[in-house]
Order: sequence, then C-alpha cells, then structure tokens
Amino acid sequence: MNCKKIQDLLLSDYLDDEIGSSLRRRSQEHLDICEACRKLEQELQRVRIPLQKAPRVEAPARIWQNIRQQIAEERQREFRLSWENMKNWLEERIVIRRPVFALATVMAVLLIVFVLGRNMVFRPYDEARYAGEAFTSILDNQDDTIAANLETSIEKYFL
Amino acid sequence: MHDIAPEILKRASQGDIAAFEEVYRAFSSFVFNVAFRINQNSADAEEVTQDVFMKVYHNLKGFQFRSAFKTWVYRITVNTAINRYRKSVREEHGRVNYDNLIELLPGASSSAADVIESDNEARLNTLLGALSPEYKACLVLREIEGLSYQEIAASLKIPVNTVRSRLKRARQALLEHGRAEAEI
Repeated sequence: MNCKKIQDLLLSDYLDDEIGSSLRRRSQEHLDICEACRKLEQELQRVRIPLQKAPRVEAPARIWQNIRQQIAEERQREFRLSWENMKNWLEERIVIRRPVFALATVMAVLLIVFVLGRNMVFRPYDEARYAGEAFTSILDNQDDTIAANLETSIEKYFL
Repeated sequence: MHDIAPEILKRASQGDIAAFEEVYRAFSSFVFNVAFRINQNSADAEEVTQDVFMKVYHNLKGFQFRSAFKTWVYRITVNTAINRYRKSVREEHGRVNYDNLIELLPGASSSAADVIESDNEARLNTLLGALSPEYKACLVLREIEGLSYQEIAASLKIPVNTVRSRLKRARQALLEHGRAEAEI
C-alpha cells in the first residue's frame, strides 16, 4: 500500500476503527516500515486527545422546567382559542335572532307556568274550601242527607 | 444507546407529559452536549436544547417511523445547533466561553484536575473554533458522541463518503492549526 492511501485511511477509517481486519493489518504493516506515516498517526492521536477527554454533562434542570412551562402555556392558549372560536361560531348564528328567540322563550315559559300553576295552585284551594264548607254544614244541620249540601253545579242543574 | 420503547413514544405523541419527560430524559444529555460543542457556549446550548425538544413535541404525532426515532432526534439536534451557531455569527455574538461548562460539572471546585480539565476545555474550544459548523458537527458526533459513520450519515442525511471526507478535512484543519500553534 502506498503512503497516500495509508494517510487517507489514517485520517478517517483507520483512526475511527471503521476498517476491516485485513485492511487494518496491511495498514499496520506499512506503519511499521514508514516513519512519515507513523509520525502522522501519532500527530493525529495527539490532536484528538482533547476531543476524547471532553466531559459530557447533564442538561441543566431548568431546561426541562422551561419546556414544561412552554407546553402548559401553549395548551392554555389553544384552549382559549378554541373557546373563542366556539363563541364566535355561536354568536354568528344566534346573535341576530336573539331578541325574537328570547321573547318567544319568555312567553312560552310564562304560559306554561300560568297553566300549570292554575291547575296545581288554585284547584286544590277550591277543593279544600268545598270540603271545609261541607263538613261545617254537616255539623250544623245534623242532616243525614249530606248530598243536599254537597251538590255540585251539575247536580243543581239537573235536579 | 438512546433506545426508547414504542409505547412511550405513542403515549408522548398523544400528549402524555410524563411519557414525554421520559423521552426528554433519554436524549437530553446528547442534545445538550452536541449543542454545546457546536455553539461553544452554554446559554446557546440551553436554548438549542429547549428548541429541539419543542420541535420533537410538536412533530411527534407526524413522525412516521421511516427512520429510527433516535436518528430523527440527532438530525433535529444538529440542524438546530448549526442554525443557532450561524445566527450567532451573523449577530457577531460568536463567543467562546469554556468556563460555562466547568460550572456545570457536578461538584466543581478548585483542584488540579479541574485546572487540567479547564486547560483541556480551552484547547478543545480553540480547536473546534477553527472548524466550520458542518465539519465540527461530524467531528463531535464521531469523537465525542461515538456515532458510527452510518449513524452520522443517517443523522445528517448525507452519504457515508461525505461523512468520511468531512472528518478527513476536519482533522487536516486541526493538524494545520496544531502545527501553526507549535511554530509560534
């Protein structure tokens, strides 16, 4: 093998152990006899020492804290944005008709309350009043014919 | 090295922050150290590290496993670090501050070992400062991180022969720099 080829290998595959065993052996044989190439190899080994001795450190803890914070802020922004988008979507579709819808809703609610309330509040009061009057009448008249005091408007009509 | 279970990646891609933290713990040392060596100061290295993991976080869902996950992370790291370095040089903030790394070492105190360490850091930064970012990246990935030629090629999306030639040129530059220093 000639010096140029060996020096090429020294600068890359030989130094990085990316070389096959056969080529490594032949390179070593050349280095054993060639002083210039041997000097180059020694120089290269010297130059790489600071790289090989370079310490590796753990990333500072604040980096992860910053990442977490940035993710949390992004998620909050996304939530606010999607809420705003939903509000805008609803407002675009409802805002013009809102007064009419609101009025219709209020009227419907009042009607329902009135009808139900009439049935639930006033009828029981009437029934209670009639029952009370009938009972009083029975006590006063001591009459066996209770029906005379309990006649309804329908009975009055027919009788 | 840097193998992470697919289940953790899947959970991280779905927004599971605990799973994403596992991804961070697996790769943060690599990312920070490469960023530090390319940018040669810890402030930029921290910024690059944060950028890299935010890119991973945003793009994890779209990662389709055509390459190994770690190769993808390596590529983002080198690209982000080189871009940051170029931006620093444009802004004329290209500063070499090897003292930052000594402060980051656990239990750092005055001692002969620290002085030697400090000298080594000074020498290393002088050597790396003489290289272009692309050559620096190849040298750092090979000599400090121990990646093979194939892994470097996959990370930088370049042919193996380009890795080989960049390493050769980087080492030639270091030799010339060393010889020039010796003549002074």
